[in-house]
Amino acid sequence: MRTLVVMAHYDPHGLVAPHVLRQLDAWREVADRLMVVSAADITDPEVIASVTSRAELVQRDNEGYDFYSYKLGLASVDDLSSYDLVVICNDSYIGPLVPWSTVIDAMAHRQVDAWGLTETMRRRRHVQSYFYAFRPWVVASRGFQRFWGDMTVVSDRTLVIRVYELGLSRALLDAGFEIGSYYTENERDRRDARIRQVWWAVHRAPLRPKGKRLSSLPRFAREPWNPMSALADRALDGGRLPVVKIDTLRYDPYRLGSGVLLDALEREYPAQFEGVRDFLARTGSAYPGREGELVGAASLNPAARRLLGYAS
Amino acid sequence: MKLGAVVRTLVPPRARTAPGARQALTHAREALAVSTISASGAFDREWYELQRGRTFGSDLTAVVDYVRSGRGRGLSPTPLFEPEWFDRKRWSGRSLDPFAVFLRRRKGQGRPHPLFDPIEHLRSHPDARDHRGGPLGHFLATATPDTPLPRPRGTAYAPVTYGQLRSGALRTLRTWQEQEALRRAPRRVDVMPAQQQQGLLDEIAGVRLAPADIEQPLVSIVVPTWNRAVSLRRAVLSVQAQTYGGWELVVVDDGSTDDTPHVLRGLSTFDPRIRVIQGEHAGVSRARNTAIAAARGRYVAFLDSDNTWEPDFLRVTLSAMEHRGLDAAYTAMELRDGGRTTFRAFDGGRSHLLVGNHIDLNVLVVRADLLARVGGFAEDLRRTVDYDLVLRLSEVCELTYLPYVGAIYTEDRDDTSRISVREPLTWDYVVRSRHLVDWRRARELDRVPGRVSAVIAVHDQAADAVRAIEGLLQWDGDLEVVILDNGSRRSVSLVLAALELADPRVHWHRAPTHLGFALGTNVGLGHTTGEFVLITDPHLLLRSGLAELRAALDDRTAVVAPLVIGMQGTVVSAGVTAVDGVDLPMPVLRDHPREDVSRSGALDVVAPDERIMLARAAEVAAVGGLQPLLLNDWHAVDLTLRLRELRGADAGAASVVTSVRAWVVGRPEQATHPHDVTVIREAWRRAAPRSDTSAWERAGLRLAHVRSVQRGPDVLLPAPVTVRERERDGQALRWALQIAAPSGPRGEQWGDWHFAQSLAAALRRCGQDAVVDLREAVDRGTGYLDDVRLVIRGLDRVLAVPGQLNLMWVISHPDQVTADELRGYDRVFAAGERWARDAGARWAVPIEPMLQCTDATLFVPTAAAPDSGDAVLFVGNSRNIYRSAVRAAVDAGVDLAVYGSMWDQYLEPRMVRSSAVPNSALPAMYRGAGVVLNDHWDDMRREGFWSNRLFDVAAAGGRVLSDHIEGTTTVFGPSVVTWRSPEHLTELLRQPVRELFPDDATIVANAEQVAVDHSFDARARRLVEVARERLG
Repeated sequence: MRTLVVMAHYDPHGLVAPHVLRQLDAWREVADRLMVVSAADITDPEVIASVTSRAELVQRDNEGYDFYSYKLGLASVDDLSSYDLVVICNDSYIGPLVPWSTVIDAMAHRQVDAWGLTETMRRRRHVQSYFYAFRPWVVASRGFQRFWGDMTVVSDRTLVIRVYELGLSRALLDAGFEIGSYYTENERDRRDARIRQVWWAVHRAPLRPKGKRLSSLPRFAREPWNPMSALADRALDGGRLPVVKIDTLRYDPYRLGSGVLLDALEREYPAQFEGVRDFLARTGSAYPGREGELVGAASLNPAARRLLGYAS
Repeated sequence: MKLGAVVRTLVPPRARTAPGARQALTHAREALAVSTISASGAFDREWYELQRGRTFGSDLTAVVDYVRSGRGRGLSPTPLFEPEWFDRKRWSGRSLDPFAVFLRRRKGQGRPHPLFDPIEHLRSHPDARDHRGGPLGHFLATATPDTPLPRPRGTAYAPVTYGQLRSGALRTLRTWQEQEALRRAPRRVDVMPAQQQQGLLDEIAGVRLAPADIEQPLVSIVVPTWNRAVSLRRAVLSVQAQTYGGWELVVVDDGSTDDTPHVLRGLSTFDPRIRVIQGEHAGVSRARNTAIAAARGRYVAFLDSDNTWEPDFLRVTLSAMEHRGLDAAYTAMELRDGGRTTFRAFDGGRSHLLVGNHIDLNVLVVRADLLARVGGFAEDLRRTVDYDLVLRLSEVCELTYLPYVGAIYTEDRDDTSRISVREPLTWDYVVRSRHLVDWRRARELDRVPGRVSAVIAVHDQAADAVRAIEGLLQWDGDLEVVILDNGSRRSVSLVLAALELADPRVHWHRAPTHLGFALGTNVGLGHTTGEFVLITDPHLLLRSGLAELRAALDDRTAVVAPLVIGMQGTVVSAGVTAVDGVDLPMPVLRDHPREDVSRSGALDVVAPDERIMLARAAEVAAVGGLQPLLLNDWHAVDLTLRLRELRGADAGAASVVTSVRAWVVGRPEQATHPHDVTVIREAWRRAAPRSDTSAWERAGLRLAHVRSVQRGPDVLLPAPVTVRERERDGQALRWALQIAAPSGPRGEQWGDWHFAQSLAAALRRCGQDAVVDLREAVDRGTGYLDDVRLVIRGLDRVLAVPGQLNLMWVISHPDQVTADELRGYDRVFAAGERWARDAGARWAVPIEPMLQCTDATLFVPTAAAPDSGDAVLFVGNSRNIYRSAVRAAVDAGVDLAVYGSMWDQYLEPRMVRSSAVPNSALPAMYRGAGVVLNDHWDDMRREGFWSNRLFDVAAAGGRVLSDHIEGTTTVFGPSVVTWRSPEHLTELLRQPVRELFPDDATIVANAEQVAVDHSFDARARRLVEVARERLG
């Protein structure tokens, strides 16, 4: 199976973190062509060499978030549809926790035209765009080409999510394609996720303006969850969730105790998580908290830990 | 006293509107109706029961049922009375039952049925007037099955006996009821019978279908798709979810321009049972046929890309087919539309299918060899191809209904790509035209040479249709009239079918549903036997000219048509022509006065464009008749274009015979449908007729511009803007004579019409150009072409038109003329010397006396011998007044002959010789009469307006007794003797009238002098003189 991987990269200090290099190494095992499109200001020859020894490196200005890197990377490949699988991914996660071949083989017989590692119903159904794989008839389609062809630089994160992350899945579904994900939730996942969603709603509502706090609680509680946040600990279940988002570790968005999770992950996957704490510390100042969210790992009492069952 | 009058007298208006009073009034009216009908003996209980579908214990209970609900349902009390046929004007506005109203009128007013004339019955049975049921009640009380019906006056109907009529009506009723049963069959139901479904499932429980074999599937599923990537996936998933897996899915992509091919590639990659065939866009039928050709299954099933099957559809259907050895089977379908769910679940046969499709292709499974035998789908259809296939299959096998919901269809009204949105519904008519008409027979039939077969498709317009048919039947050539009853109401069907009894040339055929004009006509065409076919319409009245039309259809001509005159009295259709740069037919001389067209003689046009045309029947059949795709317009154009193509350009001319006229009568205004524009534009572009503007040139006009006119919400059509060729006209002025007579044949019986025609002829003899505008043409759109507008003032006030020379000639009703009205005119003439003098002085408006006159070319003393005609003659309508001259003659007991309408209520039928007289017959009648009676409207007598009848009679050498106007003898000499009161007239008539007049030589000499002094030519010369003074 001919596979093309386009990875979007950014580092505020012009470096390439160890977990990124490990991901590249993992890709080298399955990819026929591996391309890193970096918006980081990489000038250190050693750093450049650390990438170019593993992949093609395309450097660009830091604008338009990861989607613009995907666009440039895809545009630089002459005949996309000659690949059996075209993958776009970024450096926002730690992994894979299982070999990419395991993931790709599992998806080979799933009747979907494009797939990711996770999908969510938040806002509307979409594959989360940190990882998206397309079959050849998709990359040859008008819907796919129109999506990338129409793309312009957008430097607002929320807008990027709405227009491009959600938009990509929307474009594929509107064209008649079916999308899916490697990670599929089981009944226990869903039960845990619902509890954690409520937990998050309770912590999130007080951040709303006075007067809207109580009313927003039920709405927050009913919202579809983000599996990368609510079910990040499924990575510990034999790598069923094969990656862990760095944002989950950095912000602990659902207030589930990401410190405990990181401890467990380091125990379970010491090689994959080597240097992750240092990376978080080094880049922390470049990623301050987002408006309306708490920042940093929550500390849970035993009763709450039992209730949430997170990373335990 | 009538009940209504009693109520109005006794009950104050406010009390009448109170609910209780209203109810009581209703009951009283019902009681009166019941008693009137019961007492008449005219109610036919058996007949009523057959219509009602139930029996009654007594005549009275049946009558009560009729009055309370039967009439409201459109039922009739006897085969000789159809409430809808009975002139509505005679009972509308009354709440009393129309049958009761009719029975209470003893003088025979109104016709209860087209074949029954009460006046005729009264002629032969004067005692019928005293019968409690009037003439009809008397007839029914005395008639045996062999008694002939009193034949309506003015018709050429054969004698029909009561027995023939009644048995014919029963036959028609049975036909109508059978067809209604087909039409009303419950093709959709709200609830699916669970018991039937379970019975089917029990029956097939033990059936084992062939195991799935990818190389040899039991069934091939045919899915055509075009730009439906999203819904296609749902359809395919529903196939993959089938509980029986021995299938192959053959998807033909009909040249999609969206991502459908890529989606299909994905689907087929994961499932080898899915085969994809890519094609160029060639329509759904070609796509399905391609799939059928590639199918390997013993059976073929069909699924559209916007439908889904229920999981057990294939297993249930195939099991039943295998178990019972069926050729073709279909299941029910659930239809979801908004919040409503219904089921298309109907077990019907071919007769039902011919009325409407009840089989959805998505739940149909057919043996593959049968599909091949019927040739698959028709590729020239753009819609309803499934209906067409089902109809063809129904010819070769039985389509068995399986009571199981095989599919659920959810209506998506937002989907604009559906065929049902893109293509017009009339494709359904196209399909039915192929199956309802035996075109091969129609083409190859050994047709009767010379015979004209008139085809008239009628839907619910009984009165118009009968009038049109009676008009056609006046022709004494070899004619047959095929009535295609286009799904009419019972009462209309009964009336139409009865005509078949009255004239062997009439043939009635009925379609269970309304098929529209084109398809209805095509079905009628299938029943014709003549060499020629006249296609017409109930709203077009053609009373003469069939022979001329037939003669005009020479070897080089494909179609001929009469000139069609509209309700304005102007030209509605003189055909269409082609104009450079315009991609639609351009109407020729539409909205012009008919004189503009008459000057052109027979018009060679690209095509006629009204719903009346004559062509060779075999050729019309060869091109498949009228185009059912067209809803309302351009039927003749489309047919002509196809006939021209069939015959080749040299032999494909079309001609409008301008000497033959058809009138549009009672047709409501209809917007043009945008689909019609699309269809005709396509046909017009394909035919590309050569530009030809000669029709206007021959009328002395030039096509100067093309403008657009709106003919519907989304329709703009081209219309010509013409100008006069002044060089060609020389110094002639164009005169428009505006008269008060209404348009249509009735208006041509008015004196004003003949007056205007004679004046126009006289103006033409003076070198002028003259046209006549009837009352409705007062704002004729082509009025801008006229130089002089001469209003011949009758009953209507007509405004002066800016930009033209406005003349008025007051010839009657001076009381209605006002000073303001006259001041808008450039010159006023009046036919009364006294009024001209007095009114002119009173209003300070110069009014020139100009008496009425006579057509000296027509009214001559040589038309007949004196005293060779009626002893005492009166020509004129009653105007709903018992006119003094007539009353005096009746009082005198003389042998009076009256020619005119609306006299039924005043005179014995024997006195009324005819309701109308052709103008050409009048000179002989006047000259031959012992004496002619005349009277004037009061105001005309008072103001000195001699009627033109006096001029006509005097010029014809007749003798007149007329009411007294000062100066009569001065104007008319000894030909007119005046009377001063009705009693005086009675007295004069009681003595030998010849003694009142001089000898014949003196009368003849006087006639010649009247012709010189008072001819239309004399008046025309004066008018031209005045116009020249003004216009130079």
